[in-house]
Amino acid sequence: MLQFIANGVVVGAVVAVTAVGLTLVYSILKLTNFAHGDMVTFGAYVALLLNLSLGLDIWWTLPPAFLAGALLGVLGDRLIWSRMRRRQAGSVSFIVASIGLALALRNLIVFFFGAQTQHFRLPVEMRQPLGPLPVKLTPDEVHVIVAAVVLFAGVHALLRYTTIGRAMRAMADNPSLSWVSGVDVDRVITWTWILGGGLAAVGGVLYGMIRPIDPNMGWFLLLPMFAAIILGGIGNAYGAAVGGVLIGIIQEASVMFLPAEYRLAVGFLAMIAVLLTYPRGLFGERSLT
Amino acid sequence: MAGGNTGGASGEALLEVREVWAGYHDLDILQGVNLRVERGRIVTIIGPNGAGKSTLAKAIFGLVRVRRGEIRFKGADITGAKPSRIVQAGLCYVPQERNVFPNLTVLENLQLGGYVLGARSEARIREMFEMFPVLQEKRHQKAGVLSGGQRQMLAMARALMLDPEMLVLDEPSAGLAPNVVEQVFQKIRDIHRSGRTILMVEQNARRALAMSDWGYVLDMGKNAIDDAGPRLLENPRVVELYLGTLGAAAGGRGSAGAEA
Repeated sequence: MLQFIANGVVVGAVVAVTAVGLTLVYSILKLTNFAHGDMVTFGAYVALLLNLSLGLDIWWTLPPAFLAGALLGVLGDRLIWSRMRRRQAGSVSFIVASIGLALALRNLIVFFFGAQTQHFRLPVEMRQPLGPLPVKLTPDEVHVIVAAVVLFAGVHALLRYTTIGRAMRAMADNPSLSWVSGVDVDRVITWTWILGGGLAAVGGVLYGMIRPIDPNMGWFLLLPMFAAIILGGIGNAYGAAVGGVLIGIIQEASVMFLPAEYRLAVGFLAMIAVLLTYPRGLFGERSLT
Repeated sequence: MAGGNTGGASGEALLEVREVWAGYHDLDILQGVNLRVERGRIVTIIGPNGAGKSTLAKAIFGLVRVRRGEIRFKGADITGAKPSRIVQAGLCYVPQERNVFPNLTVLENLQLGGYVLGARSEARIREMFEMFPVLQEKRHQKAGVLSGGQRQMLAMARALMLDPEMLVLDEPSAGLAPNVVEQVFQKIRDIHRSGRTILMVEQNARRALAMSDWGYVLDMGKNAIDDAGPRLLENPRVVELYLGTLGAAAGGRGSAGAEA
């Protein structure tokens, strides 16, 4: 039992990191970004490239992966989303375009890296379970949890205590009032993509440390991510983090009773159960923090 | 009414709206509206529901696209300009509803109002707390939990953060209890007395026109009548068309200003 919860926390930490980025983009830009999962995959492959071809230690791939993800996010906005906003496209158009972007990204990854399953080159000792603990956890898994906590503390500090973070929360709260208050909306949007894309990519690297890497990894992670942000209250960054961990635990714990293939379905059942009791999610909608 | 576009006197025009056509998608709500606000005045726009009063306020700040015509502030063309430029020029806006950031604290709302000030906003926030003491008490509370009157005060304080020369208020009394409406109008008079020019859109026509130097009546997206505020109150056409029902509603109190 404890073991499943521990596994759940590890998976949940990854879901949380990626879900926070998804919910930031959703609440600030009002974009349900189906390409977010493939931005997660993209991050894993950036790290894979650096890890395998340059022999870079996996932890040193995190900063470049973050930057690459941020760049991908900002580039996507310049090339696609900003143009659609200017033409006042409807929300369905945005969703369909994001699905198109998701497919394009995934197939580009298949084109360059192949469709086969791959692994990071990790030091063997990182795969050995840690000493006398009640549960079996490898150093890498512990590091994943620590990384998620550090990343989330960073996001929290940025949103709470910086001018740009305040402006991001204001945009999530009331876009037109932000606009007429003189907030530099373009700058807020750029930062949203830096964070959203960067967190997606870093989440992909973390995911690649606990699961095999293949071009579909992010796409399949999209379901638990959505479950997490709906569970936590759509558009709430803290809710997304807590929701991510909860979904991870519920999914892993279900393996005790059900075949492992049903994990995703169990996560969704849990989400439905919560929404029946708390229709606005555990933390309520609309507020970013 | 003819020749009224001089604004009743020969002062300097701070804000000028010339033949503006604006609206949403393919629908022009405003169809050639003219408006002139002189420095130091209080000017009120009244008119029936759907006349385009709020649309005019939004058009000034670029929230609605201006298709034709021109808006000038202090002589400079601000048609379609970025709001950050407009507010820095000294023209600020208090929208009708959703005029605060509900999930941000009172203090953070004011910080957002002073966004373009950067570090200088701290001193200005202290001035706002002196002007609106209730906001200081509530500074760490979320704006969403404030009462209607407190929220309107916060909305005005947020817009005053940049120390603007002119304030545009869209239905400042909408949805407020009668005694609170009185406080809000008193605050608007204070703001005016501190040397600021005021343009108001108001449903509460009698009260607003009584304190205004000049009033405009919009109808169907066009200028209908304009005259000195008190004279407009006595204009038979205005009384018949708008004040009859609006006056009665204002007499009924509180229910007058539910519309945009």
